Amino acid sequence: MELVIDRLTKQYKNKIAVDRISLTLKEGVYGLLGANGSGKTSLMRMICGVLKPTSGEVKFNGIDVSEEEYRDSLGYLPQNFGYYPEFSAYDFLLYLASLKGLTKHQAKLKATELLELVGLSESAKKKIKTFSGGMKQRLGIAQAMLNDPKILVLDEPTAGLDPNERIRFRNLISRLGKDKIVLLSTHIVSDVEYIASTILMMKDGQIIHKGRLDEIIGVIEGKVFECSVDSKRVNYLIDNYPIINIREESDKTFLRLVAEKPPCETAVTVPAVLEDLYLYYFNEGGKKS
Amino acid sequence: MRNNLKDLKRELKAAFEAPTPTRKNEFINQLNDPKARQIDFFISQIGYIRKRVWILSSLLFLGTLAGLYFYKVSTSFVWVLSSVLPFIALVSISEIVRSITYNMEELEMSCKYNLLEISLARLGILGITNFTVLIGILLVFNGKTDFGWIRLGIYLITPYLLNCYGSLFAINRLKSREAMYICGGVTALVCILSTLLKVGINDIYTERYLLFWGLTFIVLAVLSAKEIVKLIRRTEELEWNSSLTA
Repeated sequence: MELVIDRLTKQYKNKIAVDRISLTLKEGVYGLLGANGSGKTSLMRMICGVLKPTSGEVKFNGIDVSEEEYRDSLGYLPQNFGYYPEFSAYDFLLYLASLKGLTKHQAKLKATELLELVGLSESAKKKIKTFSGGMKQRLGIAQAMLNDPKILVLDEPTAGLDPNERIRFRNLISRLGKDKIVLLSTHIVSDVEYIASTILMMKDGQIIHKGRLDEIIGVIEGKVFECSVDSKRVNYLIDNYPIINIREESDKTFLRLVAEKPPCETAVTVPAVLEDLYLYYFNEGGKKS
Repeated sequence: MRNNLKDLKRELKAAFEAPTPTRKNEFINQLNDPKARQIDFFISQIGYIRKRVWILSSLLFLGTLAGLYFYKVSTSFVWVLSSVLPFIALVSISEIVRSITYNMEELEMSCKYNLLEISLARLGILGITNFTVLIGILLVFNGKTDFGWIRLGIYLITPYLLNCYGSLFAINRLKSREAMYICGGVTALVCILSTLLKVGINDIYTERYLLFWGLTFIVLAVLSAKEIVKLIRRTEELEWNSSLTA
């Protein structure tokens, strides 16, 4: 099972949303991390065939993204999706099952099973317009899995979920990644940290880092420092180093920052986490030391 | 005997705990579940056409029958009927562009039978329905007017086509769901225009204006077809939203 993305580009007038991305994805969970406007959604839309690339191609096991057979292997949760106002959760799933080529009998079984899986069984007959954001999102996740897809693309899947729902969702995705290619985008760093086997970091339409969590963090390992300094020193450090975190304490200011060498005498190096790397690249336009 | 078997099954269940299934998904994936065929998909879409389309179409046909039963056929009758037909066009168009109106297009584009196929299915179903209603009306009019079938068809369909063109023109150029309100306005305008023509030009349904009707019919049919093609092309790809990479 192989999803090949070859020199994929999306240009709109003078703006390059996705810039010659080449990737080969196999079974596993891939976390696409990037700030708003980095090109995540455009990339995902092209992978799902809803946006035509300016150049490049997407193929799954040799099948082009534009083919019906490709879409038959695809499950997609868009960032924002609507619904027909008269639909209940169950109707919504039956409708999408009909578009995904399931027979009536399969559709009924699958809809019931998935509503149970996402914890919406009791609300199955309720109109979607009465649902909370989290319930809508769970329904969106359920519809993406109706056809038991080989490729599952989830754009900001945890948006609107409460902490409990997010943990349930993470566990569900981790299990799915065993026999599927799961690509999920988010700017919630912890989601990616917990469930993604491979992290893809995207900036200005390009993949700037790709690898396992430990590989990707290696870029700034030994460069993350924490220190508590007085107010005079704070401004100097803020102006000269990428700051990860600032916390006012009683008489000093606590800083977590990235630097090549200790930025002050009291600074101590601490283990890097993914959030450090994320903020290092995406904080204040990516100011780096 | 049967009860004994049932008892045995129950006792076995109670005695042994069933092991957790292993490689269940692999096994299920091996099974080749029959997939729905294209024709099943098309038929399933009939069920998703809203009731109002069927109700309005039936009311129009039954209303015509009742009108013919109670009243004598006159040009006013033709005018009333031709002014009502644009409403059928309005509900049909609102059905075809429903995905865009309710922000379902992205989800539908990613499905096996994608937005293009869904739109074509809806277009086909509603086209057949509207055509059947029109043919039905023409049939019940048979022999009750001095107009021939073609002439009567042109009188009835021209306002319908004007509404189709106006509504599709608005939908293809406006990106918001508010386009449907504009379509409602277009339908109202077509009705008003039809009334003004009938009131202003008393002999509008005479042979004197036949060329005008014929040419208008052809021009509107061509323009509507062009707008339909534009709408279909629109369903092939999501419109790029610059706010995504702002």
